[in-house]
Amino acid sequence: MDATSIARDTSTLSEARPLDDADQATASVDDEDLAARIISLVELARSGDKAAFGELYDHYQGAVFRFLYYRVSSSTLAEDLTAETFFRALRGMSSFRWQGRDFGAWLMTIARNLAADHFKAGRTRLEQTTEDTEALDSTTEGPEQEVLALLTSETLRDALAQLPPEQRECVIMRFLDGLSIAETAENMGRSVGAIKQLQLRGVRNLAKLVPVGSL
Amino acid sequence: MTARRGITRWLFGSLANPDQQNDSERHHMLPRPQPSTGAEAFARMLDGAAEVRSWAVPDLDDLPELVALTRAMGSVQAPAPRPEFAASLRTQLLESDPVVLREPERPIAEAAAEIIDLAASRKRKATRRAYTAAAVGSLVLGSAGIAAAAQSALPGSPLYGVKRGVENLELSFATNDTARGHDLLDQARTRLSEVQQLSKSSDASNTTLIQKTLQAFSTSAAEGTNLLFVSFQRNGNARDLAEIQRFATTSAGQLNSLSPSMIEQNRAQMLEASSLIANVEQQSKMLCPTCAALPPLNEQYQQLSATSNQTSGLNALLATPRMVLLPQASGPVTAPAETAAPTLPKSSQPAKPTTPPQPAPAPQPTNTNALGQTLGAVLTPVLKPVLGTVGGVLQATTGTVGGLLNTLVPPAK
Repeated sequence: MDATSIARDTSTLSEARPLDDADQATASVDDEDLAARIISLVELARSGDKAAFGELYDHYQGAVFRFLYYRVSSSTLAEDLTAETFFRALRGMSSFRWQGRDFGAWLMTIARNLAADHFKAGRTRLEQTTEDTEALDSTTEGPEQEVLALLTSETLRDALAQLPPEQRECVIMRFLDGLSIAETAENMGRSVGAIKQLQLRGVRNLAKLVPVGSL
Repeated sequence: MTARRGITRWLFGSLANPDQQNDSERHHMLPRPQPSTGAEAFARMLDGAAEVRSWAVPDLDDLPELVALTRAMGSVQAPAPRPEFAASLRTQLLESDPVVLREPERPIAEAAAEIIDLAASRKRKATRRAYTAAAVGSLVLGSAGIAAAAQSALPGSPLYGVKRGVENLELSFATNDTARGHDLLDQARTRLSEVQQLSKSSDASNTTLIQKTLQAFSTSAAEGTNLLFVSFQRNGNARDLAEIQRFATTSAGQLNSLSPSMIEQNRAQMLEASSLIANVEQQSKMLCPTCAALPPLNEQYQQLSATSNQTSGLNALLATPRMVLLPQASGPVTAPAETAAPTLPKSSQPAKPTTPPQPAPAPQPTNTNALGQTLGAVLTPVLKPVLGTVGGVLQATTGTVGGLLNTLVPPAK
């Protein structure tokens, strides 16, 4: 997921857009046509076009689900929160403003808040007991493919669940959501240096937890 | 590996302990050809740097493994929601309450529609057309009666949202700022009379409503007078000031006539409202001491239109702003003050102020009644004549039926 932000040249749109956030419209996709299309869809959706919102849903639902999947304890819960995220987005669509970030970032903010609320409410505990016995043998260097074969989204999620919250969030943002260090720092309200420390500690701890003996 | 780590430790023992807290501070003083912390080295390797070795940090041996792990994480088969879940959520979303429409000041949907891939949206257009027919039909049938019934609604009553919606709709018909200003002052008058009526009942739950209505009064009043001040500055038309003064005088009277207990209960809002009015009154009198003597707008319009055809366009705009559907001519409108002079002997053309009047700052309209605004916002794109192309109109009407229903039925929590 090597997404680069394409700050769109919005000169064609700026006349049409009544809000002064035209220069902030951004879509984080490589394909420029797709980026233009997403921006248009957002414009339509925030002026009340539900079909456009439906297409945005098609585009982002997988990402939102993935985002939530690694942050909560079960697929069912991730699905529930995905639904709630999109319902909130639909309700808040008219108040959406471009802030120089991808529309997806807005969705992820909603999703993150929902996940946070969920844990605040104490309905679920994050801790999951997993067998973390055979995880510590890290003597030989194995190729990436071997890791891949053994690393599934389930094992990864279970391992992540055992990290301290800050490390978990940092590792998820950096290596699963594909955010840059700077973006992660901004999202977590920490300095770039702190994120560098956090990601190293997080990945080190994670390496001890993933059941990948060959690493 | 281990041997090298041991030697490095031995050489730089006290310096190079990466676990020390003051680690990062110390590094600023060191030359930086090499990463000075493990975290730094790791970050560089993630960015694609080849294996990094540093004399300052011994504990780098596991970094290649860790980088490999992060790469593996990136390529883990992405979990996906169950397809049946994704599909049913999509249906639920599209069938749920419609998006609360923001009142578009310009036809954004139209322009965006041009950019959007038209081929893909052709099918959508067909369904939209069907929706639109249904929407327009039910609107015409249903809304007129409801809107009429809502006119006497008070804050807190179910139809009050409709009343505010109709007001917003009227406001959206105003084709220029002057007309908008007049409409807004009308709205402010309505708010104030609502406050008066609300304050007559002793219901304790009214306090919040009164406060909200007072705030809405202040908002409309500030915005309306502001627009008229600006209009006066631009056109030099004394009638704008006269309107402000009349508004200020009657509003001040009405505010003063409220009961002392009511004033006490809603101190902050009362203060805001009355200081705004006092300020506006003072400003308008300073700009034009004789304006208050001008007859009310409608009378004046009749006099003027009897004597002059030249200014009838503008006067029509001013006198009956909500009936005007034609787009306003762009560019500054010339002041009709010369034509006004013969019929109105007392008023001379007001001296252009040497210092521009300081219009009261117009606060952003507060969302005091989301439902009311919803209706206005929903209706506006349909009826606004500037929404020219079929695409734009279809666009904007898609959510209309639901929007109307939404206004009448409180959204389920």
